[in-house]
Amino acid sequence: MIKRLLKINYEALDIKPTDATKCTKKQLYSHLVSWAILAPSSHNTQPWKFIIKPKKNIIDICLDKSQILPNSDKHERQAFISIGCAAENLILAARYYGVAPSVKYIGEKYPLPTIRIHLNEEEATPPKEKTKSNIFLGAMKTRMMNRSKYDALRPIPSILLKQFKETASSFGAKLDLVSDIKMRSAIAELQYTADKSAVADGDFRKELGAFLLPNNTPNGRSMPGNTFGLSEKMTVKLSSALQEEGSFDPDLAYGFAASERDGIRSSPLVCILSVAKDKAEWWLKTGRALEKMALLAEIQKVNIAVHAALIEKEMFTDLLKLRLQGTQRPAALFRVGYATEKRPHSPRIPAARVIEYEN
Amino acid sequence: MGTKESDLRYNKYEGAPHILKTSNKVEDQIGLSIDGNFVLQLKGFLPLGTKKITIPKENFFDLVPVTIYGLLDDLIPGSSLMEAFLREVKKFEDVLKKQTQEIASYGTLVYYSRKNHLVKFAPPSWHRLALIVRNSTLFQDPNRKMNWEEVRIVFEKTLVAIAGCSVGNNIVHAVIGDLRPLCLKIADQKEYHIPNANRVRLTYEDFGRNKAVVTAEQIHAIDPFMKISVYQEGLHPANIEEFVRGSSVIIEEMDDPDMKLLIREEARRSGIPVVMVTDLGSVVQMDVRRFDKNKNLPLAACGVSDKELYKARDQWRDDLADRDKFWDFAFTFIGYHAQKSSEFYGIIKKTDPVLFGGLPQLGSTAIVAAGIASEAIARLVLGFPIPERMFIHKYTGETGIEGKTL
Repeated sequence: MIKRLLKINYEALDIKPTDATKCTKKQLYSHLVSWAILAPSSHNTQPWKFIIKPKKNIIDICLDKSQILPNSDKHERQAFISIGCAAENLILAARYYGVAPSVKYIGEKYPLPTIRIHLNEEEATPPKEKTKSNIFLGAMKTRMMNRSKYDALRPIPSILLKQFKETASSFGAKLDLVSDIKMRSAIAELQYTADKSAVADGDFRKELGAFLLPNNTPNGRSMPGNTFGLSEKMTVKLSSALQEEGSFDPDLAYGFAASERDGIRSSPLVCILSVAKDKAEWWLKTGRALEKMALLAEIQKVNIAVHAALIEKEMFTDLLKLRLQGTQRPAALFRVGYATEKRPHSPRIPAARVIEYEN
Repeated sequence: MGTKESDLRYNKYEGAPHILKTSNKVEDQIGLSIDGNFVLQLKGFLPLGTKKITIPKENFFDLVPVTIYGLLDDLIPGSSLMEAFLREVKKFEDVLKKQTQEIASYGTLVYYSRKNHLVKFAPPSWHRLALIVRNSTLFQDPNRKMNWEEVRIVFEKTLVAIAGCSVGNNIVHAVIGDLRPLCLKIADQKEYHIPNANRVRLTYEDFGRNKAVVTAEQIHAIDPFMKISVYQEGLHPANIEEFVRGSSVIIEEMDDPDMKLLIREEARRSGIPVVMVTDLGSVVQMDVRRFDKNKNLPLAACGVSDKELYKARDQWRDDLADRDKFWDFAFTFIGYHAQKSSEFYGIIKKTDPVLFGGLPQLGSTAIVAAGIASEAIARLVLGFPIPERMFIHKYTGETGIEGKTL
């Protein structure tokens, strides 16, 4: 039974482009959702539901309230960003099949739409080989958040930096590209303290412990320990310690924060996306920009890893903003580089379980 | 001395003292305003450009008289040094007789931009002599053949590189007190937080600021003439070679296991000795790697092979949160003298209740550690053999040395 579940949890990654000309609209839209669910999400919660309305040429992506993390995502920012990531995958896949999407940011939660994707009524086109969109689809399958250390000495290709800037700008976001080691070190230390602050909160710990699970977990919404580079023994110990009442082993707290800090310090580039307003629409745009950049990086065989504590812990967000001398609010922080270790993919809830159909 | 890259860093950190240039036509201007404040016009002071700065009179500190009083007290009447000093004092008295309002008429003026302080020092050689005059001839070479001036030349040419400014802060103060070198390198990417204050001398101005910068400021507050290369980004694979190259001795006090090994690898390649002191509760331990004597020495002291060390490091790195693996690595690296400090050992092995996170550290042990490191460095550069490892228990008085003495 567990073996079967384990297999199901990773089947989403086996997706291949389809011949859209041979699909019904309903089938094509479901296929688009299968690309969308490969997007990253906070704690791998996959907080999405997709309502497919073939007759209206609409796919509504809805934020599933039950998957919002009440402790690590008190403002629901991370959940909305996750929805934005899924939306970007869906939009890029739609473009590949020639069904030009238009996007409306609504910001409600299930059963109301968070983002409405309207797909044009023209007929889908046959699969195109070697197009930009095709490359994006390939990147969706292989992309992952690699949380290992990166090669500090290997610079990021300048073409990618240019693409990052263009992407951020197209979503109206400000992008800080931090490559200066002094600044990166300062951010790394800030991240360390923010993580120590996060893990000091018992409710946060319990929540994290519920998602940080052994590698053979049948739970499709989880972060198996090996995605963090943890041994099986340490994963079990950490997950259990996180969920226990009372004091938390300070060594575990140190290890948790130190690995994040060292990750940032080892990365040749740290990116911060800041937006005009700390509101749902901007979080969704942040998510779209983030996923587009993650895919662009993947195409260049460059890894990224997102760090949320500096964004979610207000005191530290202010300090980060101060460091950046910015006026806009940081909404996402991620590091970029060439990972020194391979890490496995996180599991995925199958598309069929998050799709509803409406006429 | 130094390297081209690190030379470029000399006194380049934000807030570094600016020694006023008043000796030629391209000079900084200093004058008095009607209300008795100082008006400073700096030329070529890049952070500020050429502009006028008003310094309130209460922000002016004249260290010339106290330098003179100190040297008059500590130099021996009739000695050549005293004779030379008296000639210098005469210059000062001549200036006083003229009753000039010209503040720059004697000594060296130094502007500290962070505090907007103006400080008048005695000429550098006399000021720096006053700073080490009480060291007397306590440091001599093993054969006692060098005279005092020759020892001073050795010390002044010693380029000490300190990586890590927590315990390292104490060490650097001890080293400059003992050796007063002309150049230093200091690296740390972290900031001082309040808990650092049990083992580092800090004021309210220092917290939340970079450790390497604060340490450099502390040194420069009494010796603006020392050239300090500050690595406030800390050490990393891209700058480790620059940091190590040209150094006479490296003091390694970092937390990062990768960097601890990397700096030793680089030092070994360059034939530069590495000194590390570890505070283990009430026990101080010092490990010295004499790569200057033997470039084939293992990275760790007392018979631990590089293979064993890397293995222990990698096992911990795979599980950063596993303190047992950390201590396996640490004990492989430094041996087991932690056991001599029972409270410390009880905390780290969790056989005693653990009330606080972070590594337990006593400030008094850090101070002792600094003294031991400084003494070893002074002896090392003078040509004394130094044991691979030594330890001292502050309470029981137990001491010991291990490994080879090179």
